[in-house]
Amino acid sequence: MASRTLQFFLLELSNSLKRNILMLVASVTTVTILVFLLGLFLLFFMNFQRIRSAIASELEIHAYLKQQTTDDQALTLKHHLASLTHIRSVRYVTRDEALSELRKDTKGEIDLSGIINNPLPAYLSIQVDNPESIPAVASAIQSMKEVEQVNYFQKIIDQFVSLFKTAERLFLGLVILMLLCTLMIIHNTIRLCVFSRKKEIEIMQLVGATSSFVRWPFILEGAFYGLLGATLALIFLAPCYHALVSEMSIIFPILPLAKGHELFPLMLWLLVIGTSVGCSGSYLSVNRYLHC
Amino acid sequence: MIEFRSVGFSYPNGVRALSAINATIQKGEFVFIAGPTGSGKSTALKMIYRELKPTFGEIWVNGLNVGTIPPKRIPYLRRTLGVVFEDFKLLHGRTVFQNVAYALEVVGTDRHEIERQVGRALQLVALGHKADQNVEHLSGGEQQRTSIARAIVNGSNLLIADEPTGHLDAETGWEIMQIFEQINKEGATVVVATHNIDWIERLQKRVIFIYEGETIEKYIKGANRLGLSNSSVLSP
Repeated sequence: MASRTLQFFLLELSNSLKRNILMLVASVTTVTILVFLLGLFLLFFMNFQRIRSAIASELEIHAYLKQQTTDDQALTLKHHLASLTHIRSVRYVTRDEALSELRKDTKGEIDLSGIINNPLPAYLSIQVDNPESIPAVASAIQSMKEVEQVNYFQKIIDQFVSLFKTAERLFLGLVILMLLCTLMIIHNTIRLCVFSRKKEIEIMQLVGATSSFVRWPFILEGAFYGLLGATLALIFLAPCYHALVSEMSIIFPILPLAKGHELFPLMLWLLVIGTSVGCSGSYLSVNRYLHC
Repeated sequence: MIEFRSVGFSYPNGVRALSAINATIQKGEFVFIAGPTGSGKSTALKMIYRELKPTFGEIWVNGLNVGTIPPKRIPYLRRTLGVVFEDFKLLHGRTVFQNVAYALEVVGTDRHEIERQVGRALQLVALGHKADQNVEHLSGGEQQRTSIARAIVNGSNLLIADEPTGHLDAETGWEIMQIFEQINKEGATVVVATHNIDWIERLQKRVIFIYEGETIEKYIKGANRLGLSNSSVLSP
């Protein structure tokens, strides 16, 4: 695009914004409200996934080793397991360490001083990348010759996986629904703006403007509506979310809620969504009135 | 310059607006296309700048068969001619200068050249002093003069006007017709569609009649009285 033409388009954009101030206000308000709501949904969804991952990372498989397994064999097994897919970390706990952990966990509530020969087996504590892979990994470990028994709290994990899967699907469905609503409403608002100027489009074509020459100022205008609306939405969303996170952190300090720079990608996405919906809305709407 | 070869047009609903029109307009001519309301004058003009595509027949404009040009080339055809409409078709919310300059902006003309050419076109229609006024604040005659300036600003040698005085009073309408005559004297071909017999009588130019039903009598009598022996009478 020649710089002269670009300069003309930018001038057209500036003049059009001044001329159609009511349309500007209507479009930007619509985009702001919808991107704000979409942002809230996405923030909830994002934090939900963080909480799910945090809980999932605490879930462990304990592979109890046979009595005759030596430390060397246990460490070899540990390294082997660590190289397998879905396994995030493997920790070797010797028999002595297992007894120490038991003492620590019971905090003296149970008298363990009478134990002379440590009855506890050594074990490997294994963390996986996601809870869904626990049963398959446990089954694979169970078949290894050094392993006596595998324990992973099957019932609790199954319930956890089921609950989070359902919640995640529900949330994802809501986010997609919200995204579609946002796209449709913004698109319709911009369509109304373009409709009000269809005579202008007709005149431009009658004096020899090509379709792209007519289209570009409208696309730039749509992008501007989208970008401005999304920026305003973020300006409102940021303090609301910050206040909410501050309250939640006091009530549930262990919740791993997203803060600070962790929010930048989401904010960037909201800006991209707002701008691209504005562009595409304008593009599709103008095309309806272009005859050649 | 413009040639209609057995041109016909029917609307998608089947209503026939024109059938088998044959006419030739030479370079530098001033021609009226006359006929009563609904006779197909505007349809004939719209086919020249390809707002409508002939259902059959051929229309040649500046050596180009406009009925066969692909849609993407239509803007380039329109840049070679100027069109003036009954309802002015000005871009609202813009100044006189911006409206006239738009025809040059679409072809990427340099800013200084735009200022020069728009200034010249506005001088020709005596609107130089209103260049910075919003077109909505102009009278009907001034708006039509703006529309004429936009039509001639790109230096095209063909000007088409569709009922250009339809929204104007007689005095203002006559001023507009005089501007067309002036443009024609400077070398441009001018084609004006009108149902106003007064302009035809006063300007004494060739007339192409497109008639429907009994109204032809009025135009034939008018033509005979004026001695317009070279005028054509076309049946829809």
